Amino acid sequence: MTKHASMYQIFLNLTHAIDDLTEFPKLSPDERCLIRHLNSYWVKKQEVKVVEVINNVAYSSPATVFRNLKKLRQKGYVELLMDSRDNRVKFVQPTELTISYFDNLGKLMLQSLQGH
Amino acid sequence: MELKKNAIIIIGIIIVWALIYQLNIFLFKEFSSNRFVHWIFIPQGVRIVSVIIFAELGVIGLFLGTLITYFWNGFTIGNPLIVALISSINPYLAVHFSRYLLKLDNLFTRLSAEKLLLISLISALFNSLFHQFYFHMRINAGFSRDTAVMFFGDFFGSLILLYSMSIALRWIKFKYRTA
Repeated sequence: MTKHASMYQIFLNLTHAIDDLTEFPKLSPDERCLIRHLNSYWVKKQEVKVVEVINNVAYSSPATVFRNLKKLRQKGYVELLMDSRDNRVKFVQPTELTISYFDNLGKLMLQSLQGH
Repeated sequence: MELKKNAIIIIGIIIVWALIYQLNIFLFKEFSSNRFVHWIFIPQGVRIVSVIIFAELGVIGLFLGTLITYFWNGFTIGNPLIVALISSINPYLAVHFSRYLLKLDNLFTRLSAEKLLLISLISALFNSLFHQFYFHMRINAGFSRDTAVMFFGDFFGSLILLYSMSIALRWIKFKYRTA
């Protein structure tokens, strides 16, 4: 490999790393399914309880759904807020990151439609 | 031909360094601890990027660029050649040390955003320690305080530059897709 080819390859690798600085935290396919499911409540301005999410997701066991919900919280996509009247009840709320995640997806969809 | 290409790269680095250095002074004049130590020092990002991509050519460009900005701003502190040497060799040493520490190959193939931030942190540490050690020997300035300010300024400055580049890349991609 020539010196300039190496420089170009390093430039590409560096660009990729710099690009990742402002990338959304990566989601696994299961987490992506779950956040889409949650978003179906949020777009209708409905409050969603943790227990509802765990019991209503048909494609995974409650334990898996709860594990994915915790991962989404760790990655900053959701917040779990306690009910002011009943401490046993927790609501799943979107964060700013989730709002901009779906906003970006919406924009990308419009772009792809404009392209056709 | 090879010499001409290398000269273009070096001149490019000198221009970018000098412009961003002067811009940093203009924008963050209020955020400087003294004429040499800044709370926000964006040119540190230029050092890292130049040395990662252009290696030794980056060092030469930064050395000459630092000499230019040293005289441009009428600095009298220390020996200009030594100051320029510290400014240019340090990022090179820091990047190579980080490469060894993070087990990255010559082409930085597995460089990620987290590793890039770690390289910025190590570079800021190397730069602040070496600069302030030299200034401390020459003028007996407040070593620990200035080192801390320079470390913070270098790290914060490189973050500003790298994140600005990231946002610019995202914007270019967005424009390109919508075009």
